[in-house]
Amino acid sequence: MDAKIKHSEPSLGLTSAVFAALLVLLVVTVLVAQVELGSWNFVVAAGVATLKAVLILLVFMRVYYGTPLIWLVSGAGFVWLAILFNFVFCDYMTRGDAHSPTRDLGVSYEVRSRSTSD
Amino acid sequence: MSQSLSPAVDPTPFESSVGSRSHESVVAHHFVDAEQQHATAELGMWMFLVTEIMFFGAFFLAYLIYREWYPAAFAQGSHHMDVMLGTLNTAVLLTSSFTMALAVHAAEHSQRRQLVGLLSATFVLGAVFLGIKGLEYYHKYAEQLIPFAGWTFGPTGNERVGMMAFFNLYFLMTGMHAFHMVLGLAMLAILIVLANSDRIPSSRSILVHNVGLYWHFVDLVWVYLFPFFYLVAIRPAGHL
Repeated sequence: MDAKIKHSEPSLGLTSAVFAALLVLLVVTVLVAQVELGSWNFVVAAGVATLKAVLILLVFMRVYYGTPLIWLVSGAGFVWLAILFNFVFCDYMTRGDAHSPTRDLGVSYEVRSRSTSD
Repeated sequence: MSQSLSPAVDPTPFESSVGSRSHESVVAHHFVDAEQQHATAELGMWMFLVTEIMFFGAFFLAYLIYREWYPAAFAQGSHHMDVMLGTLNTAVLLTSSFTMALAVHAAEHSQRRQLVGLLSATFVLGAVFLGIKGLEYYHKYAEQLIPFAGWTFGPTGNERVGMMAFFNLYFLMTGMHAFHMVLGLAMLAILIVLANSDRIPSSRSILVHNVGLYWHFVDLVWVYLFPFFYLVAIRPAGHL
């Protein structure tokens, strides 16, 4: 009870530095999108976005300065999201070839028309 | 220990922790002290944000699956996005997060005038974001790229269905994001009124901090929306 919880905070200098970093990363992500990297374009875009998200979470949202409980709860949110993504993609990525619904429709129409013409 | 059932709790620890921060009693009776009340409110806000992570997470999941299904249509759809306006809007939103972070700092240090100014700046930047977003929506309407509400959807050819998926997701996700922005603006307006009449002492800065958490989270969602819709594929040269 006597141990007073001191909620610490990022300095104004660090907050400003993070803001500058976010703007730099914004320029980086726009510029990299003009360079042909194939499928790596998406990886870079998602990576830069995640870097920005981590900066916002740790400094602007002060998770870095939060109590262990805040670390746990905020972390759990993203762990649960990872579970959702993991299981859904385990399904969709292992279906042989990536079917689009319209391609599926095309196949079934074909089958139906063949069966009616018989 | 033994006094835990007694209503007359020794007020000394309470005063020692709050006294230096505020002249008025703002600790509800079921909290030990202002610090615990602060931590509890912050935890509650984070619990809400976890549900928001899952809410927007499901949209992003749907986006990734449809992008996997229709890569060419997503590239084509992305070419209809205005990267200049999108970049500008991202910068506006990041700046509003910065002023929001500064506002929390001002609230904690009892800088009332700075608090009102920074909250107002955040509000104005948020409104500018929505204004630019509305302009972009209007452009999409004019270019016949709204695939619902009975409007004509312009694109034809092989990628038409995929582009409809792209623009449905675009309006769904940015629309839900904009809706969150509108709620954020309403909360900011309330904070501005409260701060202006000096009703946010530093001991209640958690009010500003929690609205700030919400605001930063909405910013965080946009950080992903921007590259996912505006920067899907390389553009034809000189065609930003």
